[in-house]
Amino acid sequence: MWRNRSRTIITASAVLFSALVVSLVVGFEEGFVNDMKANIKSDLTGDIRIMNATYVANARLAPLGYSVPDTSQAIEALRANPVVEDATPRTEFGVAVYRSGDRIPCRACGVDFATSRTFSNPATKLLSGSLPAPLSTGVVITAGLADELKLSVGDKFTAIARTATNGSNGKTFRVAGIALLPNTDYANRAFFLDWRVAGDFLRMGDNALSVQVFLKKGVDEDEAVPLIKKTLGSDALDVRAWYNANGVFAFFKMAGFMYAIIASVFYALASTVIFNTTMMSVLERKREIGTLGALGLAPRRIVALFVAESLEISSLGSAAGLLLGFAILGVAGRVGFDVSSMGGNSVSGMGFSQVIFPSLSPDKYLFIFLIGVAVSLVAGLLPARMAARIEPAEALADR
Amino acid sequence: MNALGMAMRNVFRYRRRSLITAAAIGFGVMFTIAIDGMLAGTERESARNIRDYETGDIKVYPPEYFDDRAVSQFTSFIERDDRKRLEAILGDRRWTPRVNAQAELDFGEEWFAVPGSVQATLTAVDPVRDGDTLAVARMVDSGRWLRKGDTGIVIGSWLADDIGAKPGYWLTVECKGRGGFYQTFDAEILGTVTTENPVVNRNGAFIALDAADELLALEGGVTEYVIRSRKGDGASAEAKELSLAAGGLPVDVRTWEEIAHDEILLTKAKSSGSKLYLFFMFIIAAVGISNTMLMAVMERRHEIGMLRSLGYPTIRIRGMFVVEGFCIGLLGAAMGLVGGIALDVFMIVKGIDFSFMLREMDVGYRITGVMRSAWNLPGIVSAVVGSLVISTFVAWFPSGKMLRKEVAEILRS
Amino acid sequence: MNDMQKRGAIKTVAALFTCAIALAPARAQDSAARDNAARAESAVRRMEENQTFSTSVTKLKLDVANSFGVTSNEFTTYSRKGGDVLVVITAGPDRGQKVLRQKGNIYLYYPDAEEVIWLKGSALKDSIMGSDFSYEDLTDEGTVTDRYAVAYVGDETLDGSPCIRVTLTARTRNETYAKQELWIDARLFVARKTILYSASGKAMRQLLSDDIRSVSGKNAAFANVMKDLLKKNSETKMTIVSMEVGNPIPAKYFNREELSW
Repeated sequence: MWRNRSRTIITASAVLFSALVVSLVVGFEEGFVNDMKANIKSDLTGDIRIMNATYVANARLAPLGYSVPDTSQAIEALRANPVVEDATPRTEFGVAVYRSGDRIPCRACGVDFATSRTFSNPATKLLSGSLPAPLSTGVVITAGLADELKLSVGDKFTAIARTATNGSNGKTFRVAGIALLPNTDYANRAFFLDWRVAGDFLRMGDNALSVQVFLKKGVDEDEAVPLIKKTLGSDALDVRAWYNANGVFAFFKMAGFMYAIIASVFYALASTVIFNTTMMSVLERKREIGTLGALGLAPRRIVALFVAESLEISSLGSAAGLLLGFAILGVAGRVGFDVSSMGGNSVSGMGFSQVIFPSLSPDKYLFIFLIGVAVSLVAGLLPARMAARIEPAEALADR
Repeated sequence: MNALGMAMRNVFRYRRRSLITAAAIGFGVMFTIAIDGMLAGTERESARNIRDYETGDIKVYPPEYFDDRAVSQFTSFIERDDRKRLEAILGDRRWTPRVNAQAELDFGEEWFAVPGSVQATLTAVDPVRDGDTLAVARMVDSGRWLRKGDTGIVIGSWLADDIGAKPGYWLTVECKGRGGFYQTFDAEILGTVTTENPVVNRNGAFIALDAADELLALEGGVTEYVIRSRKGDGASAEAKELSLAAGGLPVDVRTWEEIAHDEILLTKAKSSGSKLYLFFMFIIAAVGISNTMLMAVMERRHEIGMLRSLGYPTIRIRGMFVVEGFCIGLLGAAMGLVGGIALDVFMIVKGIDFSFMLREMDVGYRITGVMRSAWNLPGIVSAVVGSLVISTFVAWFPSGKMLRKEVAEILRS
Repeated sequence: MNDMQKRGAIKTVAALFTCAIALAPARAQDSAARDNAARAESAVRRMEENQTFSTSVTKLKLDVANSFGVTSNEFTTYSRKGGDVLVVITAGPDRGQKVLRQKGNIYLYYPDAEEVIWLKGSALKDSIMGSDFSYEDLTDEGTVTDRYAVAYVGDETLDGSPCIRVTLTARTRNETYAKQELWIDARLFVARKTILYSASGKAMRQLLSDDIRSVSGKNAAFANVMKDLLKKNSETKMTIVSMEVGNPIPAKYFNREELSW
């Protein structure tokens, strides 16, 4: 193998680069998917989402009168459950922000600033001001809203909303802080307030429209749902895993499918590269094969020899490529990949972050490794068998 | 024997090797063209959706309508006389008039298991012209589209699902007419549409313009014209042209980009990832081409030694390899071009339809998804040119080292 | 006059007389019709007089029922000639809110808001407290007879009270309801039943009024129920708790600057 160093290096490097690029592509895609998942869980549903069943059944009408009854007690009970790590309330509703005669539609979100994962997310940056004190009329507005309405910390604005009793209510809020949220869904026209203040504003009492439940690490959502249902002991509540809520799942499946297609194209190309290089490498050694044959080596053993060599090179190449990929993803995974710089600042609806952190799960590493090896194997096998069948004399004569 | 002749002879002598090398190039080119086509297709598809289902290329509105179009109803119109003049200016373009209104659809016990009412966006259309100008008419998935003289209604399929409606059922439509009076009319559901725009699917309701004109006392006025531009992509230029031509009329001309501003940003964001993919594709393809080519050249050192010993100047030997590299590159690029175009054609005409798996899930957000490619000539050309450049470039290098060694050394090894 | 002529004369007279008798009901019909038309118009006018005051302060209770339940609010309305109306919500979830209708504009005051909201455009169509009444309904100007053509339909008895049934047909397209049908109490001149129709003639809403009392010489129905005929379970009950007419109301009540008192 080491006799012809350059040939080995060339073959190995082909395998290396292929494995590297595939790992980067898959890692990047995984980063996107994980990011979407993370945003949905932290900002919308939690691992498990709890809402009033009547609200869910009539979601089209957004009947605010159907909130989660005794929300605080429910949260206490949930936190006591061994599979639950935390539970936090969330009330999202539409408002019209009234500004010199114009009504600007915005989204308002009542959260518990102490336990909300939107705000404990290290990627959430508080550009100015601070989180509001509990039960105050202070709100955190998004950078986009601050820009659009020219608001800064300390300014006030009035918002009007339809209430749970089908009437309306108006309230003046004070900007306590301006935040840049990683989730591009909340880039513009959104603000956050204390959930109890929201409940009072919407006349739904001390309740929230939904509770996000975060499970302890390793707990399966499907297993947890019945346990949680039992803890809450109420038929009036809708308890479901995050992927069953909100039509999110369809998006995921579609994204997953598209990524799978793109990844397979890369796999295919990488495979052809490995195939070509390996085959070329074996073909070039026809004289060697002829020599060995003339020396009396059985064809089968010749093939085995070449295959073994091919295996060694491809394993090394694959492993090296993956290691390099691991290193690069490791760096990119921590530093993050700024998607917004490539175009698309105020993007909403996909739940993507401004910055994506690529990653690659161990099982995918193994998969890429095996594919690389398998392809080299087949690529080495074919020409080797072809070559082994040639008469030694012929092989020696031909160049 | 000139360099080209020798190059060609060599190519054919080492048939297998040349073929494999060319294949490597071919694959690289093919895949690059395919992926580039897919990415171009996705981008174009999103824009196409907006233009086919909502905005057309250009819209003409009454004055002072645009900014408040989400909230106000029937405060300004393009009136009958102005319409005639506008239509004369529009000439042979594809255009269709529309009236937008908010309405409430009541569904009663006679037809529905659970009676109730829903808010909907009512759009009155010219049934025939609308079919020519926008794609909604072709997206009927049960029942049929509107015809001239119809008094029935076509609703979005998700709306139909939500209330449990089927073609043949009757609804009562509540809507305010021009002036502010309440109007109600019973309408038979003629069909349902599933478009690529969820808003239409969830809230859309369509009736015939003639019927609307009478019921809502529109007096021949409409709230917008949807227009397809003659040149496909020259919408903004054409919009300016129209604006000038219609200068005397009280109208407001807008391009689809202005109207669909937020949705376009979303499209742009998706395309950011595509640049990355193309870069990766380029790396693999380049690696594949160069490695195979390198190997092909490396194995020929005896040849090089032989030629040197025969007195061939270095330049000529190198030149021979480079030309050989170029020829193989050409062969490979040609193969790749054919393969890539074949893939492109398949993906453009047929595409990959993944709505099959979305039907099984019923979580409220359905997308009729067909991933299609688009012709992107610059992409195809750069793939071909790129591969030629790489193969030629790579053929230049290895020979260099060999050429520097002593002839005897080469022959010995 | 000879016999022939006498017989002829008698015949003529008889003929004339028969004609006269034959025509009499028709003419009576004509005049009856004219009388009824006049009665109808007069009834409508008198009904309107009952609704016209220099000033009035009315305490009301509003119960809004829809498929999700019933919401109750109590409010007081202050109105004065010229069309200014101030609504103050005194009890219920929206307690403390104020709505001022003045010169065709609507101003909202919310206790928790530090500014007064001025509604314009489409906002006028929003419903008040979720009821079947919209802000726009507070803004009618002009008399009924100016805006509608009155037609007599018949005399009917409703719950033991004789009523005149009339039809109001809108004179322009700007009226919310193209046609209204009223059963006006023949003695008290308050509408006991009102049906509101869409332009195509479909009955959209029905208002039943009862418990008619006299307040300073004006009659008003203290119990009112508005029903949306196109939707199930949609009903608004408006009950007058007390009503005072003619007393002066401080000008500041109708001043939008001073809504935060």
